[in-house]
Amino acid sequence: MSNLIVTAGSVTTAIRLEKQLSYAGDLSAAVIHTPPAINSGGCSYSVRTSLDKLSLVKQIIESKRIRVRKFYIEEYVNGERVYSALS
Amino acid sequence: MLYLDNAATSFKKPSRVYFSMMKNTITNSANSGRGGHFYSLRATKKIYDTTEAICTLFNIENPERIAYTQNATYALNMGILGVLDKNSHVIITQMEHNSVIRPVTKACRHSVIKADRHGRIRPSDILRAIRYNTKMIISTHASNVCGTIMPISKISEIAHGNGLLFMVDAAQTAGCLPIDVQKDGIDIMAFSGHKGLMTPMGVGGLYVGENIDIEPIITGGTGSLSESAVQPDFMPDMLQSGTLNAPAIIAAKESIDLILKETPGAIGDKERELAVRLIEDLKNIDKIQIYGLGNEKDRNGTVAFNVKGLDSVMCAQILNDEYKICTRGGWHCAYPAHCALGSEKNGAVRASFGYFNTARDVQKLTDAVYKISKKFN
Ligand SMILES: Cc1ncc(COP(=O)(O)O)c(C=O)c1O
Repeated sequence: MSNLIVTAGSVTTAIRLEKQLSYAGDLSAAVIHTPPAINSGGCSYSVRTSLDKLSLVKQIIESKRIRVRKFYIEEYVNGERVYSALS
Repeated sequence: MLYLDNAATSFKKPSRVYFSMMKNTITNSANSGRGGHFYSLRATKKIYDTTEAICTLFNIENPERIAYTQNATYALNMGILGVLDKNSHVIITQMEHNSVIRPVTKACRHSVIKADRHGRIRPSDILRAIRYNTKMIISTHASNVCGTIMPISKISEIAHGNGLLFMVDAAQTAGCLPIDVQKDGIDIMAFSGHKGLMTPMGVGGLYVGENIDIEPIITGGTGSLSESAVQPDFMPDMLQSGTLNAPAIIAAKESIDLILKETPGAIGDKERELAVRLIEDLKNIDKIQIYGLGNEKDRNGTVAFNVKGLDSVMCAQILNDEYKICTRGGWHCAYPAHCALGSEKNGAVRASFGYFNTARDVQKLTDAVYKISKKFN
């Protein structure tokens, strides 16, 4: 199963997104420290949820005008987490 | 002791604030926004719950536009020194507190809109004070000396009609007067938690509207963009460096929820009624000078008065020592306001009512003032 990682600058932004997702029924969304593999510029926070929530995430970001940074897919390949940017 | 100094801070808090403070000191004292571990994130989420409650209270759309500070003074300094530069001009009212006057004096040239004997200003005077380089108008929402409420919506109209920013000092009104940043047209707002919001001490905040150019005056660790030597440019991190007072902020949700339930309007009305009752009672005593408004609508629960012939600080001391009543004498960090009210020579005794005060408290104070006035006249 693939995950969606949405990176945000501030932990407050990430929590805001997580909360809005939970209001919309996505209870699996969780704030995490952005994994180093996709992190440029030092610490930041992200929201991890399942990839099939992508359209819900995009809809919430747009309607609530939440300023996120980038979208990534997180997959497990041979037991390792592998990240790819979502264009 | 009878506590009547709620304009300085609300001494008593709803008991659930104490319980929350205690509980969260034990369970949520991890550093919010630092790392991704369970305790840090849990504290951050709890803080965010408080932020959401604040947004509901002030009708703020985006919780990210609120930065926590330790009090209103820090928030005011951030809003003033972060927006104005040496070439700016700013307009303030005569009823401001030193936490506006001093940073404004440090920042740039300013004009002061005169207030009348009741602490009221004429919004049309503001128009005449606007210059080519005026950037912002700042007004307290209510005077901390005599409780006069400022016409902030009208001031906002003038500000926006002239392309200026409007900043409100809500230290005296957050929690006890309805505030709607959208309807009231507020661009920047500083508030205390520890006064009308009845939070523990060490809680305040600054609301900054979208697209407002503000520079941080305090920079440092934010838990974000750690590799960069430059402060993040996104809110709230831009204005929120250093460790937050997590247990106090989390406990703040308890009192804010209570205020939301009872409504700031109803709480303010009750405090105002006590103030009006006190004024009516004091009017029956000889040799009492009352400052500011009487029973007009645009006043809150703060009353300033003097016993003629007695210094205000001395009077407050006697109230404390002999009658066990806490009031505040002197100039209340707002000397120009006293000049407007006519109390600049001796200051005034300030009695400020809060959520827990009752009509009996008014009676006790009136009785004490009556005895003092007899003794000194
Ligand atoms: C009108 C006003 N502004 C600002 C302040 C400063 O508030 P704080 O004590 O939270 O810094 C006060 C405090 O009394 C005040 O009355």
